[in-house]
Amino acid sequence: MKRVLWTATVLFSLVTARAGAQTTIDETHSAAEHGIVSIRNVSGFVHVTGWSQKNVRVKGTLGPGVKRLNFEREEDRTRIEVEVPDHIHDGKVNGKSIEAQLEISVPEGSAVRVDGVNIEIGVGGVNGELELQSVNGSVTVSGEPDEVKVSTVNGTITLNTGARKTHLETVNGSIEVTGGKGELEAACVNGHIEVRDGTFDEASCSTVSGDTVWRATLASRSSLSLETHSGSITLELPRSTSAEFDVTTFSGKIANGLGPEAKRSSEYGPGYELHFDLGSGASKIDVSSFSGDVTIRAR
Amino acid sequence: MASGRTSVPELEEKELLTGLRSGDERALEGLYRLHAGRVYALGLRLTADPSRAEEIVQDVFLQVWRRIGSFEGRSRFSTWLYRLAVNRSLDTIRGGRREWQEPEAPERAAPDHGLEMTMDLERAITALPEGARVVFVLHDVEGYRHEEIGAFCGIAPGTSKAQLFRARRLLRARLGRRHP
Amino acid sequence: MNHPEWQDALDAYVSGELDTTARESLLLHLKGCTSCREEADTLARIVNDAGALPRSLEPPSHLWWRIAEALREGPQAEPRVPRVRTPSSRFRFALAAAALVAVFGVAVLIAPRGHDATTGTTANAPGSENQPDVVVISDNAKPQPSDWARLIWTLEEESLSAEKAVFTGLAGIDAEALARASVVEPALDALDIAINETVDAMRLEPQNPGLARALTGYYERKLELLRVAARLASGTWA
Repeated sequence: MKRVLWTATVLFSLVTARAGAQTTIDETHSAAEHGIVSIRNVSGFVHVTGWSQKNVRVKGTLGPGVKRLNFEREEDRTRIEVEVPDHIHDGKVNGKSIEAQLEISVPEGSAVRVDGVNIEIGVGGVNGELELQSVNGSVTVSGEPDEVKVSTVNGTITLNTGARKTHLETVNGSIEVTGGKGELEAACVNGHIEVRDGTFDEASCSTVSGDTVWRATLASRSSLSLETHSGSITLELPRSTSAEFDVTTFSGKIANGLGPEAKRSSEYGPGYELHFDLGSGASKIDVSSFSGDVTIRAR
Repeated sequence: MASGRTSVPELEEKELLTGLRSGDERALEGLYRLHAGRVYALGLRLTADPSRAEEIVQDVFLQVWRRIGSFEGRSRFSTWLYRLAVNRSLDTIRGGRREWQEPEAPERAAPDHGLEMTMDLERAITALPEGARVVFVLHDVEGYRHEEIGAFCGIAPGTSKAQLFRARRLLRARLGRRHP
Repeated sequence: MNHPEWQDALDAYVSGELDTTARESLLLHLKGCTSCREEADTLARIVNDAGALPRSLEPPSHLWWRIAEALREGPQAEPRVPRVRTPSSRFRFALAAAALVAVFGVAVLIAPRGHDATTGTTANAPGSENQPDVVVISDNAKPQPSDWARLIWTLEEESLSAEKAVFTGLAGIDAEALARASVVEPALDALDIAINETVDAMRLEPQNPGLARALTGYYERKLELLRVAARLASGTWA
């Protein structure tokens, strides 16, 4: 990779928002082929798409309360930040909206970071590492990113990717994963988790009160851990799966369509347990629930 | 009820206690008339639940009836009684499944000025989360010290202070700024 | 803008629990600090109003008759939730200490940044100040055998200190900051329910390691959420 001879931050543009009105922007500047693009937007949405150009393009609108859009580059790092004044009240400054709607195109080999509070994030066609963070807003990712890390509080996370390392966290929202490989970690408190498709080596899903549905495949000699407190767990696997199962509940019931029946974990206790091997028991599956019911069935 | 009356001379209470020990129901009624209002107030403020508060009053006076034998008279009867009331209230809080209390609507739908809320103190106390409410009621309303609260609740005095801190800040935020 | 370092003193001051030296030191600070003075005023008003609330409230008039009925029914009229008394004296240090280290090690690692470390020592010396007659845990749990009690006590303390850290050092708690932070409340409540239920379960199966693991996990998540709430309230997320 050619070494870029920038030694100082080059401020491409300081798009100052027009006072009192919405500002439209459309700025394009060169960027490293496999660089990092980091985006900060407090409120609105951020849609990032990968393309084959070695440029970053920012198109969109800035609300009247926004001070300006910073668009700067330092070596292989491009920074896009929606600058807003300090005193935000109810999502506005002096009654003016600080929302920014940004459509950003980045070189497809980029790594992308997005950070915001009340923003919806969408990323597609980007192959580098993704690190996406919002508070109130959903996050949607598609394409073949290398690694995906998402965190939100009130928002659903929807993934349709072939990522080899995925780490997803939400609090009140749900997680839906379609596709993927390698490592997967999904955690939420009140939402549900659904994983369909994908072949994983190491996966863990944990909820407190939401339901979990696992319909994906396990690679050989992989490990899967599903945990909940009071949500239900549904585990659907092909009969050809080779795995050692360890399923325990404190008080939830276990229904097993792939092997023997669960037994009571103790004579007086309310819980159940199930330990059995399917095939040669190559992979390891651990399911643990407090009061949620567990259903294992063939796909 | 107790609120309007002058405090009973110790002699009269002594007589009631004697009557109580000999199984005289009217003595219990006498003590009820004197102290139930206080027990009810404690239960109501600690649990923020009127029907539970009623149960507490019932249970406490039944306990008094059954356990008067264990009251040795070293402290004042009212002190002993109100301790029973606090303990019983705390039991019901722990015994039952904690219902999720929806934060008071005014906070979420804050108008533009944000802080002009007229919730009065009693209502604001009921809206506090349990731990904070219990400590606030015991400390700032009832006047117990952190050590005593720690003994009631099985927590360290430091924890009691932390809860009180939290309660006062939450109340301040909910009550808004009052203009003189 | 409040001064976080004076918050504890202010609280103790309005409760009349500050010793002479500390009080003098605080009064000196208040002389020159408007925001702390205002804070002291507001706190004092709340405390005074609280102390002035009626100590006695009239219960419904039928209540005595319910009691009289119950007296007639005789000894069956038991309180619904019997209070479990466990002796506090015999504290099995070896087992409990091991449990504390196992959990406390985790707790220290996840302590919020900038959080004062006073809870560390408190938890390590559970026997020191208060040996309550009945070992009952704070608002979240039912009574437990003593070693688990200490474990849960440690976790609850850490959790409460984290909550306190959320409010201390914030620029000023207003309804909006509270509303921002309260987005985590449904999750905190779900975790509290999970904690409650797990602790109840531990009473039935105290040797079940999975329950202790789950409990620690819930507290960890709670602390993480409190950190999130702090960032949200202070508006320093983005």
